[in-house]
Amino acid sequence: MDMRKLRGPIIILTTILWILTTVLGWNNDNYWICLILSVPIMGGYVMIGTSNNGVLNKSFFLYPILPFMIVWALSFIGAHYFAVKYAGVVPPLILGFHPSLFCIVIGYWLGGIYTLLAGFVTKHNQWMSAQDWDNYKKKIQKLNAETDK
Amino acid sequence: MGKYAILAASLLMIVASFAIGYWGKKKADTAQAYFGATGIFGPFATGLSTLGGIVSAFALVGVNGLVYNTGTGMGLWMLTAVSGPFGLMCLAKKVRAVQEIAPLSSLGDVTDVIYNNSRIIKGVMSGILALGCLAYLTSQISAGINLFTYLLNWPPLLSGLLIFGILAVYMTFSGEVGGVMTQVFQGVIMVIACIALIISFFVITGGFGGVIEAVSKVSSVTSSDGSITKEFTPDMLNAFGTAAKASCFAWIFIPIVGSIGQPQSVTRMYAIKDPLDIPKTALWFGVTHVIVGFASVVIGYGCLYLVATGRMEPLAAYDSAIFAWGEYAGPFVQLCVYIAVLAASMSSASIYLSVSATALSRDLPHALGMNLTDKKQLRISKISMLVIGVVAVFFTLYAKEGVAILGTFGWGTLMTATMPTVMLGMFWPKASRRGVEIGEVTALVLNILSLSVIKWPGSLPWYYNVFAITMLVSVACSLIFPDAKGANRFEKQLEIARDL
Repeated sequence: MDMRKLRGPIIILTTILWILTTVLGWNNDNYWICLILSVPIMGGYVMIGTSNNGVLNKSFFLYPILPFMIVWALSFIGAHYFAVKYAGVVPPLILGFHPSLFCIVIGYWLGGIYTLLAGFVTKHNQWMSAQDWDNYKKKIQKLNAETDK
Repeated sequence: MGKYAILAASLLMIVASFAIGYWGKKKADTAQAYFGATGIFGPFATGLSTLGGIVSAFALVGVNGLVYNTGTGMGLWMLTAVSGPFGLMCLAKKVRAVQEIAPLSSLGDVTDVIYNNSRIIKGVMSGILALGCLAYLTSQISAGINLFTYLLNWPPLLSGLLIFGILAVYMTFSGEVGGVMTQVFQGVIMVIACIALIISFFVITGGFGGVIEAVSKVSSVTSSDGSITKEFTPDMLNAFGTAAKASCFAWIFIPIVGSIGQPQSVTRMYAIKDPLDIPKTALWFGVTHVIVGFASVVIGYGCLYLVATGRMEPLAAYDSAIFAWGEYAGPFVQLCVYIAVLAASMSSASIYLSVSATALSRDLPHALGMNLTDKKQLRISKISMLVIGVVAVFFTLYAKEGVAILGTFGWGTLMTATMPTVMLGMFWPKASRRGVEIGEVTALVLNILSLSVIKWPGSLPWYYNVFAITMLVSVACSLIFPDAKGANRFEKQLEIARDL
C-alpha cells in the first residue's frame, strides 16, 4: 500500500472519527460504538507509522496490524455483550473471570500486546532494516551538505 | 520491625538513586546529553525508563483505589501495556530520524525542524508541557510525602526535601542522562515489587474466581463502628465495573493513542542509540508494563475480596487500598508496597522535573527570541532544575489550592501539546506551520478554560473534548493555510524521514 497517497485521507478520516467519538461519547450508552470506532483510529496511525520507504508492506499489514485490529474489535464487542447479558447477576465464570472481563483480559490486554509486540519483534525488518537506516543516513548527509552550502 | 525495614529500604533506594544520578554526570557533558540524553541508551534502558516515567504514583495508588470503589473501570487504564509498542511502532523511527537532520536536545528542537523554527509552536507547546509536567510533578511529590508522613509520622517538609530535594540535586548534576539511569533502577525495583504483589493476591484470594464469589455473596459490608458502608454488586467485576461507561471508553483509548504524545515516551525516542533497537525497547516496555499494570489492578480486587469476606474493615479513603493490602498481607508485602510507590513517584518526578525545567529554561526563552550559547543554556538549566525541584516541594505543601488546580492537567493536557505538533508533522506533509500554530493556541486556550469556564457535556474526561477539537483545528487550518513550497529548509529531508 502506497502510504504517500493514503496518509492524507487517513489523517482526515481519523480526525473525523475523533470528533465523532467525542460527540457520541457525550452519551454513556454509545460507549461501545466509540470503542469500535477507536480501532480504525489506532489502525490508521499504526499504518502510517509502520510504513517503510513510504509503503506499507502487505505482509506486515496482514500480521500484526490486521489481527491486532480484529482482536480488539472482537474483544470490545464481547465485553459489551456479556456486560449487558449478565448485568446485576452472577455469571458463569471463564477461567475465574466474569465473561465480560475475560474478553478484555484475553483480547484487549494480552491479545493486543502480544499480537502487536510479537509481530513487531519478529518482523522488524519489514518495519525498518539496517539497510533502510543506512540508506536514510546517507541521503540525509547528502541533503544536509547541500542545505549547508 | 516492619516500619524500620521499610525506612531502611527507602533510604537505601534514595541513596542508590543519588549515587546513580551522580554517576550519570560523566555522560552529561554536552547540551544534547544533558537536555535530551540524545542517542545514548540501549533498548533495556530506554524501555525501563519509559516504564518508570509512565507509571506514576497515581498508577499504583489511585488506580487500585478506584478499582476498589467502582470495580474494573479505572483498571482498564493500567491494562494498556500495548501503549509502548504502539507508540514506538508509530513514531519512534521518525522522531529518531529527525535527530539525523539536526541535533535534538528537546521536544522544542523537534518542532523547530518540522515547522521551520516556529516560535509560536515552540512557545505554546513548551507552556502546555510545563503546565502538564508541573501538575504531574506536584502529584508525585504529594504521594511521596504522604507515604513517609503516614508511615513514620515525619514532618511533611522533611519527607519532601529528603526525597525530592535529593532528586532535584542529582537531576541538576546529570540532567536527562541521570534521569534515564535512575529511572531504569527505579523501574527494575518497581517490577520486582509488583511481582511480589501479584503473588500475594493469588495466595490470599485464590484468584479472580475467589474474588467474584466473595463479592457476589454480599450486597454490603458496614464497618464495626457503623460509619462506613461498602456496597457490592457482581457488575463490579465485569469489564467496565460501575464507572461511567464513556469514561471507561476514554480510559481504554486515551492511554494507548496518547502514548504518541507523552513527553516521557517521545523524549525516549531520541534517547535510543541505535534505532534498529526500537523493537527490543518495545519488548522491554511491554513485558514490564504487563507486570506493573496487572499488580495495580489486582490489589483493588484483593481489597474488595478482603472487605467482602470480613477480613478487612471497609476503607475510609479509596486511595489507601494498596497500603491496607500491604498491612494485611504482612511485613514483606508491605515493604514491597512502599518501595514500589516510592520508585514510581521518584521515577515519574524526575522526568517531569527535567521536561518542565527544559521547557521553562530553554525552549520558552528561545521561543521568545533569546538565543543563548550551549554553555549558558546549561548553566541556566542546572539552576532552574534545582530551583523548580525545591520550589515544587514547598508549592505542594503550602499552596494546596494551586496544586488542586494543577492536578486538573495531566495525560490529556500533554497529548494536546505534543500529538498535533510532533505526530501530525511527522505523519502528514500537509501539516502546515500556520495550521499547527492555530491548533496549539486553541489547545492552550481550551486547556485553561476547561478549568472553570467550560463545562463539557457527558462523562468523557474533559481533555478528550479538548484534544479532538485541537486535532480538528490543526488539520482544517493546515488545509486552509498550506505552507509555501520551499518555506522549510529541511523540507526534502523531512519528506525522506516521513517515508522511512
